[in-house]
Amino acid sequence: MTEDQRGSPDRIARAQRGNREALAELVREHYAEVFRFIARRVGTDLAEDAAQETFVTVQHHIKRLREPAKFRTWLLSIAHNHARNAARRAKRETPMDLWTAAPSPEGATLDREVLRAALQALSEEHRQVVVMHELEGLRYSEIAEILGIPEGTVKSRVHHAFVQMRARLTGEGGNR
Amino acid sequence: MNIREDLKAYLDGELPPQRMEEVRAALDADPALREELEFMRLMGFEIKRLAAEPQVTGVEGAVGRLRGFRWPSFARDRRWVLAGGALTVCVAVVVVSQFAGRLGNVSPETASIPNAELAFKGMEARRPLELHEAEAMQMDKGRPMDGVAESVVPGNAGGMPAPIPQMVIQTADINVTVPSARDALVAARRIATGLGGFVENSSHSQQQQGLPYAHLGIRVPAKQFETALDQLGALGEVVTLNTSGQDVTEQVVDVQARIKTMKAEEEQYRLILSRANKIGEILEVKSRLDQVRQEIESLQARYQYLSSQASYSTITATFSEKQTLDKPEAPKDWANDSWTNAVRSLTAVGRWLGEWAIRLFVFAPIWLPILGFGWWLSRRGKSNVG
Repeated sequence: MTEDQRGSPDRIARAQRGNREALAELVREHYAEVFRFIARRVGTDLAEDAAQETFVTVQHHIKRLREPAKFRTWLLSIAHNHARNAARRAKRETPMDLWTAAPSPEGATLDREVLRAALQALSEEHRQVVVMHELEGLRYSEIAEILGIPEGTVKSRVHHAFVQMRARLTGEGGNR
Repeated sequence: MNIREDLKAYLDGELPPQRMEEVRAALDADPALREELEFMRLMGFEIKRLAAEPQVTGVEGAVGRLRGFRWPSFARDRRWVLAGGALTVCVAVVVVSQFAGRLGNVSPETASIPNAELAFKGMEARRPLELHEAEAMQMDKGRPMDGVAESVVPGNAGGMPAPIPQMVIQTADINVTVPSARDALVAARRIATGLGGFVENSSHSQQQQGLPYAHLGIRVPAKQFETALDQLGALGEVVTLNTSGQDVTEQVVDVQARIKTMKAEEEQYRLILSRANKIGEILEVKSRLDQVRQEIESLQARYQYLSSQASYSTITATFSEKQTLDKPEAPKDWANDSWTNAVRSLTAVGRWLGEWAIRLFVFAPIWLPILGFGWWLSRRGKSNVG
């Protein structure tokens, strides 16, 4: 999904011309995604304020958006920056209480508690790309754009994160 | 490249088509790779299931916040308030420096150029202060200010040294605009002689603009110095007036003392001369006596000069006629005037810009950090855009 398939270009264009109703529609359409995106990084208690700040920034700078097709990536970049600032202010890392502690059904291949522990054991930068890719459904190129890192780095981080988690789950220990 | 490193990217469809084919072929050939791929797929699936869905709150608050928003929100955004404050401080610093610079540059002399009357008032205001100071010095010596040492006699051999009056050489330079320079010249002569003084020199001629002017150097008794200035100023409108006083008391006392000493020496030589018998002795003493006599006369001349200068104040007066509207003006070259005015304006603007550039440079240690701080705040705000 390289182009934003939600938020019609027409609505974005109207928002860029200063139409407040169009902007309000964009907020309603993207707020939940932005909120969850931030909440997974700083927790729900800080997410609301940071999400609102994100849309205030969007309103400030939407006229500068040159490619409306990349609106979602641009929006999540802003959300990422606000989440980072909020985390810095609160001196907080990615909270793990956003992962459920549901027990694995009998005969399951993967032990969910071990997977949860494996996720927790990942470094911040590895867990970040896993969450962005697996939960937010972002492509490597979009993650690279949001984080400001090369796409190859994203691919490498995702690979190593999964290798580490698999090693923990299978009890092999160590990377491959 | 290791196929395993691309397994996850293959699973996510993030590989180029050719690499996708290579990985697919490897998977077909290697059951362990397939098993690994399935495990990754399962991990992805379980990660999605593990993730809790945060309860979304505040969407209407965000919409309301944007609706209540006024572009740009200078008043509520602390960054803008700080940046505005920094800018205000910068402007205030520069304006204050400009104002202080102007105050420092103003002097009565420079102010007299655009407004001669104002300059004259400033000088008038200064004069009493100078006079009061001089009068105070005179009162300390028990004698009103006169500038004349009439009672001082060289060679006074009294027991107690006579009180030494202060001797001040007063000079003045007065510039007056008058209706008629010639008439003013005649009137000034009368003033000088009427006050017991005399005219040292005078001239009457035309200025470059064709206006006549007169120049006069007069000497008046020191007692009449202020009266003479008042009467000369009353002939027209005083443009500039400069007065000065040089205290020569010390020089006079020194000359007096030397005269006294030399006269005593002269008496000694005369006594020796009266007792000399040999021709050689007589000639030698006579020669020394002549030298002493010359020196005494030189000192007496010096004393007389100083006394004269102190007794009679010197006033240099210039009378110039004021240009009146009914006088025919010389035909003007409008193009030349316009060119001159334009060049003058350009020069003034250039000078003004230069002054501002220098002030900005000098005050850089003050405004540059403030501006940098404001810029940093602005950048910090922009950095959230990504």
